[in-house]
Amino acid sequence: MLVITRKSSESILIGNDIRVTVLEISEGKVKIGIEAPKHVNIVRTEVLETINANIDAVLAESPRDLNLLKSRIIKRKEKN
Amino acid sequence: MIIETMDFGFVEIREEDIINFPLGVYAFREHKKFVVLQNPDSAWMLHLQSIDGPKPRFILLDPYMFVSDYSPILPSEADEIFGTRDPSKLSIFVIAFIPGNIRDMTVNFKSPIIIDFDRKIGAQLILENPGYEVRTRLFGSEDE
Repeated sequence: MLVITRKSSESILIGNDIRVTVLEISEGKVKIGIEAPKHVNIVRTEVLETINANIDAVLAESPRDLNLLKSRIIKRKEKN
Repeated sequence: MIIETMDFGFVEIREEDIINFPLGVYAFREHKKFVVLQNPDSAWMLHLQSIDGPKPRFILLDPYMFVSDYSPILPSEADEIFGTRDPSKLSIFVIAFIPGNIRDMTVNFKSPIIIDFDRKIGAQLILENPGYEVRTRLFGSEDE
């Protein structure tokens, strides 16, 4: 991973037409501004991860072996 | 009314059991009405079933079965949808992904399904907690 240190109001360029600007840093949060062409899809990572996880969960077949699953969960609980 | 479910064939449900999801759920925004069905073989497993047809349906589990100190920090959308950000006033479930091999099962602690059963409103919200993940494996490879 490329690591770059930036201060508030400083920016970086990705390619020729994507600019990422640090707008504000406070209380453990960073406010970021992104200028990019319309066709570039920008989404918070956890949103895309949630979408993909939901699709996988819906495509999974009906759960089988529920007794096995339950015994695993109980075993896991005992271990923790 | 009778709906076609993913796991239990055709099931009769009551209108008053329908939970409204004004925003749908992620990836399935167009489905806004669900019912929560208890799995007849295991009461601890709930099926969030769309009334529109067999899909989408999600397997819901109680997060406290796995993480006794699960403490969701709800985002500000919770205020708009439920009128509260207090998780103790709402029912919170994690979506389970259960593949053919149970060992590879994951649950989503980051974006739970949240339901107010009194007002019959539900939503999937992405929590503010930095430590929770969308795909948490429950069982290590040593669990045979």
